[in-house]
Amino acid sequence: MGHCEMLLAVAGLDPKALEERTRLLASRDWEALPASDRAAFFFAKKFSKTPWAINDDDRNRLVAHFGRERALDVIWWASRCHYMTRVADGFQLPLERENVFAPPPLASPPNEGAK
Amino acid sequence: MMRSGWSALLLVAALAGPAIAADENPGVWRLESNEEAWKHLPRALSGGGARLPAWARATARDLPRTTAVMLDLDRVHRTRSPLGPSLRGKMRWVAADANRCEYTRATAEADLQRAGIPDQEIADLKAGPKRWPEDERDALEFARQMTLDASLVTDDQVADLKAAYGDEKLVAMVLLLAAANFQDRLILGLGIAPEEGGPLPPVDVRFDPESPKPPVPERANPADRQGPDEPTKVDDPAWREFDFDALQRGMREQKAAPGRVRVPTFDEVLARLPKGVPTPKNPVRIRWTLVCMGYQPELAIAWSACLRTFGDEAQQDRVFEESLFWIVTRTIHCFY
Repeated sequence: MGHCEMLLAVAGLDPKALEERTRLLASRDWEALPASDRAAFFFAKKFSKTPWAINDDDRNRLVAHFGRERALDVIWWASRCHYMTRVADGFQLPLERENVFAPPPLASPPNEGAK
Repeated sequence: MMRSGWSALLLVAALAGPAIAADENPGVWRLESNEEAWKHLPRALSGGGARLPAWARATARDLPRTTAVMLDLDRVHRTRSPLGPSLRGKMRWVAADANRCEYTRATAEADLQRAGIPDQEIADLKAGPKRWPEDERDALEFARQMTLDASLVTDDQVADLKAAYGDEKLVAMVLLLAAANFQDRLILGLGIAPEEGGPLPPVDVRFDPESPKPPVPERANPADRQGPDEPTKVDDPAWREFDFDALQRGMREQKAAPGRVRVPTFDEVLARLPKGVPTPKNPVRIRWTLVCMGYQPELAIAWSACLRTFGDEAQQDRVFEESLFWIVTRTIHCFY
């Protein structure tokens, strides 16, 4: 599991839903996704490779699907992803084996140790 | 549907219903006046009313507290980086140039001028790698590669930088380039033009931590809107290079990667926490966080504040936003 999958699990997807989600995202067929998700994901792809080529049409599409305020959130979040990926690629740290984004396991109840 | 045909459909949709207001003029991002933008931001203890950069005037209304902490992130990198004003400014210029971001290219050049870097040195920087000074070439090449395709940065490249500058400055370089790639994209994504009247210095403002949270405008639900049709097939050749199984293999390899910098322990991180920063309730297990906080706590904390505040203000759907993150990592071959 990579960090994205760990975060999707924290967002509430169980292992089956998580695999279905990532298989869908990795596929070339996004028909099952809402049009607004597709708009955001196509935007993110272009934004990743050629950010200088983003134009008014691209922004128009996002605003049409999300409204102005939420479109700003999408652009902010897509920008944020390029902070995280630079950190990841710069350090090339080994991925953790457990989900480090999940809340830590609860401490033992106070009386358990006395059993 | 051809993407180029969307405008006509958008017009039809606009005429058909209330989903797209005619006065939204969506392609050009509205900038608040300086005075209006300050009214949206949290109360300032000092420095309030200063001229705000255009990107902050674009985000102040919809993400007020996030804008405040982004101003701090910008200031911290431009004034507190351990790389010093010359190398920091040059690396920032190279990143802006690689992203073709005119706004931050001009800002980085102005920072270099303000720091007293001779005109000839700036001209050499702008002339390209052949005229970059020998002793800075590796760092500037790193800035370019990290921006254009970070997945191609090699272990040897990073090892050379580490030998020349040490772990702490290496981490500062990575965080600078991470912040640069964030900021350039935000500016390019919103279509922010260079500042009228020339680039601005960092805004030296201190916001009141006790200030009431400014209101955040309600967000629309995409399901209630009728945006244009979107393609259903991903047809670019690069997307076909990696299927689901290949991506899983990439992640397995990442688990076995040795890493390029020693990961500090949680105790080492705690020992370097700046005064007044609350101690995390639980030990941090995320290796990135340990590295960033362990070597460059001030830069790392400024970024964490952006993430935390944005999450609080935007309240986006988590599955949607992590899916978008997944798409980005997949697009640029980052196996995380």
